Amino acid sequence: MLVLRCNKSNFQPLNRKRTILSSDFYTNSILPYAPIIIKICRAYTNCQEDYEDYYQEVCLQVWKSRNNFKGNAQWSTWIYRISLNVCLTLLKKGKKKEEFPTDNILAAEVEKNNFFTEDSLNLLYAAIKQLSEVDRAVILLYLEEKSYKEIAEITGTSANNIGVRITRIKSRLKKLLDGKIN
Amino acid sequence: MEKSIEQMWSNGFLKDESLLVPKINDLYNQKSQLLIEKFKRTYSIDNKSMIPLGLAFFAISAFYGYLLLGVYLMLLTLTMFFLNRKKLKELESISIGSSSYEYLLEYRQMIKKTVTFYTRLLGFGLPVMGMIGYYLYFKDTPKFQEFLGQDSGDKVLIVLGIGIMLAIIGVGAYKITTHFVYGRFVRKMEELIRDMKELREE
Repeated sequence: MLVLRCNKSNFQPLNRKRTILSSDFYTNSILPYAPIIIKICRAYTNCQEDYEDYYQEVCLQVWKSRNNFKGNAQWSTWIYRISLNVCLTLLKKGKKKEEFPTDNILAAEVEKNNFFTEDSLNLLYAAIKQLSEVDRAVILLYLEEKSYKEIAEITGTSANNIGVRITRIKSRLKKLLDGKIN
Repeated sequence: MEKSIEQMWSNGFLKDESLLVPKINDLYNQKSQLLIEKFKRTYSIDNKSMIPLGLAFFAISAFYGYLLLGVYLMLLTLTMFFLNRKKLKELESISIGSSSYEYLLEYRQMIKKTVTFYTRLLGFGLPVMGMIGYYLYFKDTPKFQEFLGQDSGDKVLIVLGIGIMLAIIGVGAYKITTHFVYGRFVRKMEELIRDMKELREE
């Protein structure tokens, strides 16, 4: 488990050129876990600008809540939790409204959100974005190989029905992807 | 070839560029500017509401036969509008300069000054202005004659009592409306300043 280092000299005074997030805290405690944040933020945003805003907000909230981390869970679990909370909060605030397609227009979605080099990954993300906010969180955590217990802890749901829920989500994704997966 | 979603996921992220970390912009500068822009918009809308209010004062007073009182109230309200506009221009003159922290501090200072100014204006000015309003309203009534017939001491007491009551109502109403309209901005601003201060001290 990563031990949080927060040296007093880590942070530079704020000005237009420097940012807090270029600090050692960012380098040591956020950057190694950036893939987690990226994967989650991508699932909750539909354009590059929103995605970057969400990413920054997650980093900021990780920094702000660093003293609340008691080490009961892994640091990565903490990052997952904050990332999901921030994304859901920003969505709820309606600041970054998402447009949910009314019918199956995955191809158009993929074209609009062609962020990854792998086409199949773009397609998968487009399908994931059709899911409800909580289902998105559950499937992302499942794909990140989190245990049912961890998924339940992070999403605040019951561990008992996580398995059933994942089966249902996978079946929905399969339907959405129209036979492109097995 | 068909793939499982687990394969699509893990294979998709094999290439490093898929997980390119976005460039971090100066988040606090953006937040500060957004907050101040919102504040200025609210202030401007709030101030513009003085115009219909002034016209309403005039129309209602004139309707009930108090034309002079209506003109007086409308002029007072319009004076407040121009005064507010001047204050808004002063706030707009603050430049972000080299640091959003300094910018917010300066803004907070200016807001505090404005609040102090209006508190004093309403605390001392409203009783005087109100008294003139009372005179215009009551001057031709028997009540005013009754007031003139009182002892000097009683007159002073009545005027003081009304003055103090007007000052309390004016300042109280100002504090309450400011709290409801601008309280959220001020809290947000304090939070941003606190965060930035903490960052500077670490």
